[in-house]
Amino acid sequence: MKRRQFIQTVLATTGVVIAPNLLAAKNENGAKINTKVIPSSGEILPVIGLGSFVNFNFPDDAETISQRTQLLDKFFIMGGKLIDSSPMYGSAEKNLGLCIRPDPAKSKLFSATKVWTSSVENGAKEIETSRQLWKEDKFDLLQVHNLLSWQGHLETLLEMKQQKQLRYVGITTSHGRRHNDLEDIMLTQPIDFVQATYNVRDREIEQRILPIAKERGIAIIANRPFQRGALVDWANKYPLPDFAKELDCDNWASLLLKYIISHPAVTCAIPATTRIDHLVENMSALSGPMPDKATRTKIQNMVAHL
Amino acid sequence: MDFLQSFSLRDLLIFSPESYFKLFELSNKALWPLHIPFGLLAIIAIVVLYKRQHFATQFYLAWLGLVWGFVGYSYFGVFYSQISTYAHYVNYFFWAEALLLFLYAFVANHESIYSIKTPLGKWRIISGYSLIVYGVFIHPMVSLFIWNQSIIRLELFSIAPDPTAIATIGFTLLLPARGYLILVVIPSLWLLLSIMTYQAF
Repeated sequence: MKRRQFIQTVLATTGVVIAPNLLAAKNENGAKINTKVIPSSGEILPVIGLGSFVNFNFPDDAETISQRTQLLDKFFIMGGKLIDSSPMYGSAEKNLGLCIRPDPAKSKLFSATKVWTSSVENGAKEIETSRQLWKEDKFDLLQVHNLLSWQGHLETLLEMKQQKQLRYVGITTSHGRRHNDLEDIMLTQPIDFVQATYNVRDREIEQRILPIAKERGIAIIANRPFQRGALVDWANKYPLPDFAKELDCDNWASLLLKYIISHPAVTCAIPATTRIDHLVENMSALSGPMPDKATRTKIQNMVAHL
Repeated sequence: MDFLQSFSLRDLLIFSPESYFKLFELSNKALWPLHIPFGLLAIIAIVVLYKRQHFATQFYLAWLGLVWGFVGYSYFGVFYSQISTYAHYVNYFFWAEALLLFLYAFVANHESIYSIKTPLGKWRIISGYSLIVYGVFIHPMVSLFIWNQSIIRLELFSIAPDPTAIATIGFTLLLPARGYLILVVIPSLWLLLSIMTYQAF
């Protein structure tokens, strides 16, 4: 029996994993937060992370650095851990390295970045540059960005994992692209994470990717949870439905995120923002009850008819 | 092809409007008070251009070459490259335009291209001067007004790329020989890219 199967079996038989395999932990303020299990290790992860595409790509400016540092402080205080980036995101990795305080934020961080180069030979060099920019000893998760030269890069990453230079290996796509290739990789490669686009409007991964992830014990990171802001901007034009109160949601961002993370196969969502008030709304999805299957259907129908 | 078509302009944009406009603020702060001599030089260039002296053409072509080299280095090399990996490549295009301007100023056949006797069409003169006046004086204000930015984020000719490209096209239209139209290619390409960026916002 493989390690991840063993962990899944143990968690299931001891009743730790409840539908939809949510576990409660506590944040710095002592409030309960929802977490999920990384199937390949049993480690728990808060269900809301932070993306850094666009929001952390800014020019060198003390005022902006100070504001983003406060944003990250708030993220960690509210129970966040996973921050996702990529060398493709301009200065995002450099700015994360500047804005994540060495202590105590650093100790809570689950660092996730990507390798993004068509040259497999340059992969290791790019990873080292990223590591220096993040000021990390080693990354928690490294992912092949958008399946670019994935065969060679996966080899490098799996080798790094074996040598304990890395904890998890993953692969990413977005906007529903190359799902057939992604399925093949999930079925044949020993990866820990897959990152793909998932939200109440973009639900293609429910067909094949999420069932395969569940079957193979692969964690799922949902990117573009708000369709780069468009979805939540659109939803904000309408009043929140009454049932949102039952889920402790007082804003659309929280409700839309709870829809995503309540899918049993999804491990966490990574909304990106520059605003602390928006971050607080996003992080509020970390607490309170999750929608059940019937409520998820209600959310889908409601969004379809708005 | 389907894969490429799945990308929208917005998908290709990796920075926010705020970060983009911040670049103008940072470059204005870093370069102040160069704005004053740069502005005076622009006014002198317009005056000598109006006089249509032989040396005038040579003067403003060489000066425009310096402007393009400077904007390439400063705006793209130092500032824009902080939020876009591709800014370094745009920098090379700006240097290529600078080189072309110098070549036309100092190497090209002066007898044919500097002939002040060559009459310019009425619409070419109107278009040329209109673009210069718009690029140097009006565009910075329009940009501030449309995007609701503060004065510190003013996009100025010879510091920011859009007004520089617009006014350069105007200057080029006022050159006597048609061969000069090659100088319009890079400014036009940049403006196209800039329009696409604003559309993606």
